[in-house]
Amino acid sequence: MEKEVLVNKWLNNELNREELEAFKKLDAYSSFMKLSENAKHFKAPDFDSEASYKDLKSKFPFKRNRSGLRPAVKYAISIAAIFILGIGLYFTFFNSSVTTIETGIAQNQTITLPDNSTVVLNAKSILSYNNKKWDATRKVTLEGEAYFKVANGKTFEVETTKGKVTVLGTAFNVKSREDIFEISCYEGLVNVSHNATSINLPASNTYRIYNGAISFEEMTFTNPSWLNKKATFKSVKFAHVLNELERHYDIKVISEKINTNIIFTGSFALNDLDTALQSITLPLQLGYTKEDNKVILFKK
Amino acid sequence: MKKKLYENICEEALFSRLYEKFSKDLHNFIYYKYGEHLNPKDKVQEAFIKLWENCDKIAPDKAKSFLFSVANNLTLNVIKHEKVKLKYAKVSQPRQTNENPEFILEEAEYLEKYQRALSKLSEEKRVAFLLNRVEGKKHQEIAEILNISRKAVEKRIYSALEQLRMDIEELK
Repeated sequence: MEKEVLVNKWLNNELNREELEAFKKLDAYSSFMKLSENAKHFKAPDFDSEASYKDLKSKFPFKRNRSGLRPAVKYAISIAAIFILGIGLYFTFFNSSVTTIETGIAQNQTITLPDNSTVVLNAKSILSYNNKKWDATRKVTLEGEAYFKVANGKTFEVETTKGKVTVLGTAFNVKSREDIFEISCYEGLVNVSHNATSINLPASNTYRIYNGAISFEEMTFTNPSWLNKKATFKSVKFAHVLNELERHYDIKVISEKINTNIIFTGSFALNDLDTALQSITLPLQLGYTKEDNKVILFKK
Repeated sequence: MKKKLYENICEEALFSRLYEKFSKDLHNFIYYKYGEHLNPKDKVQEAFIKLWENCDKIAPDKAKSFLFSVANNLTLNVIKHEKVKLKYAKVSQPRQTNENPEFILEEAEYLEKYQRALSKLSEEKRVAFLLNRVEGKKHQEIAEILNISRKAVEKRIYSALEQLRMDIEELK
């Protein structure tokens, strides 16, 4: 049988036994199989039609009367809006104003700020902002690590003990831990000021101050790896990796028997302790034992 | 009273059923044809908004072809004729940690070549091929999605397959 006919039947799952044998004898058989098996790597991201519909409905009200609202209704809506605004102002000015959110070990939390900007707070981090002054200055303070998706508007500031990050409306990640100050910009432009220096960081770039040394890097990710349950490191002291591990798992790492000043590049999973431990110990030829919630590292 | 010939798309119940029925295919169609950077998810919503705006002019049985051509045109409007680069995800398989690094490297190289070869395919061929091999759709179903004959679908997929093979194995 002709090759094209066979292949078409294979593609449509219609081969009978003899045809299958003939198909397997084709020169290109193994290449076709390999192409077919690997095609799954290019699968489109899952599309949740229900969620998408809900989302659409929230953005686009399906009004049957498309000729516009009657003036009386418009009038009523404006009155209602003023009323709501009044209540909003009341709460802005008369309620206690500073909101603080703190995450514990292995906790992530998504926070929606008053302007609908969102913040995802990584484990063991603290974020606070002033509700009352929000309209005047969009400013938050951060200890630890967080990913920001900022709505367009006035300047948005993130203050840390190490420096300040200023943006207009973008997506970026700030990490301020121990001796690391690291900002990754995923969209738009971010301004970082640290001591007396100030630089502009474009999208797809990371700016890092580690032990006083400044470095720039291009990156290919579209969001920080920890949002995908993975902590990633580039050329940092192993001690820092262990600290991060303790923030995501409720464990104490005993590392006296090893040198924690070695430089480590790699990542570990945030949802499985054993996989995480293996992925950081194997490359350094270390072993580990677990006792209750202690993990002891040793040289192999 | 005017006799109702068909259900009206302006009824939200029917509209949401159409959404459920076609939105996923519509999304995959745009994704495989033009890639991710053109926001296939948004294009789906925009196409349905256009459908709603014209709901009294379109018969329900014409809704599907309306949606696909609107989504296609919306995407073409913004396209900058870049090469389509489909992301390949590591499909996670439980693997031994001591897997031969050479093997991992070969696999990565293969996927990279595959990615480049896919981006060289014409849009028509790529979308038909991926709907078949990734989404597991039969020739007939793809013919209905793309609104072309079954024969044409067979041709496109077959030539996509041959072109990918030649390209990856550098047989040209």
